[in-house]
Amino acid sequence: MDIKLLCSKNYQVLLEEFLRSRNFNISDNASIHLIESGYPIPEKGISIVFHPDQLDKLVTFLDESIFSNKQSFDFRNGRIVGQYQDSYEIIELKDIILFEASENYVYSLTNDKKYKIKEKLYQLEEMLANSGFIRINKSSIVNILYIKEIVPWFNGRLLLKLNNKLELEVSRNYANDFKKFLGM
Amino acid sequence: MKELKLYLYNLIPSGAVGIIIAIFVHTFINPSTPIYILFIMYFLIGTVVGTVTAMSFNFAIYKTSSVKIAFLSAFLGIGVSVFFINILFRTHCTHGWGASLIIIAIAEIFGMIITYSSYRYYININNKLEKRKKDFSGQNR
Repeated sequence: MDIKLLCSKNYQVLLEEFLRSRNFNISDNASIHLIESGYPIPEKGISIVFHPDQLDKLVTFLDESIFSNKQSFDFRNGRIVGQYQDSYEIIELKDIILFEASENYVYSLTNDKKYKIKEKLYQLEEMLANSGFIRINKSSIVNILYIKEIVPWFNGRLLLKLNNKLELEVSRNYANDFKKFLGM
Repeated sequence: MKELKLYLYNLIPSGAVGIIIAIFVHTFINPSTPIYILFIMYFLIGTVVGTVTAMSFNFAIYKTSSVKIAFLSAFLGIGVSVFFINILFRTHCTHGWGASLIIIAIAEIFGMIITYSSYRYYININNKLEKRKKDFSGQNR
């Protein structure tokens, strides 16, 4: 399906990436428009107007209302689809130790495999917020069930020792959210 | 810049211990030195000792997960660093070993109080973690 974007360059890049990850084509001739508030609304077609301050709500709205059939993600049933080598496998959320972003891809790590995931990290962060997953730095979301111990680190940071002997740092920017998540 | 601000903020408790020692030194050992000089000097010493203590405690917890070893590391970290600072200032020559020992003892007492608060934080955050893990363990299985 084609979609036309009418917004500032900053959001254009972000939304293009988001839409393309859901197999949408960005086209000037599309009859569905995604428009930043303040831009002129075309007379014909379907227009969705968003305010830049509520981009996260727009993304949630699109994901839940429009693209829900296109997701590889079935978080309500605690599963996600991941690519391992040339095949796709259904992964149980409880088996995932962490999600990590690396070189434009998102991977999920289980005890024995590393899967490539279709979703972006910010989408996973939002969708998995109530499933025991928490963002700990710019490139990782961790399943708290696999955290063995938290060590207070220097300058307000925290170090997580995981069950599989992996160690991850909760960056200062995410430390407060992490503590709130724990109920501190 | 934010990192530096946070670091300085973390140093305030240990700097405050330095101020207490400065008051002790001014009252009982060296009243001739102006109090503001002692405040500045011992505040800085306190921050150095505080940094050493925090590093010792955190690193011992990280390496061994043993609270006993972590407390021992912090105790030694405070004792050794304050001892060498006393040697550097020749406190034992000008005021005797007794004064040096009292300064070390004050630093140990207040330093260990700060260490204990770090320990409580470590215990508290891991207790919260276990509680949250219990909340989610049923949901994910």
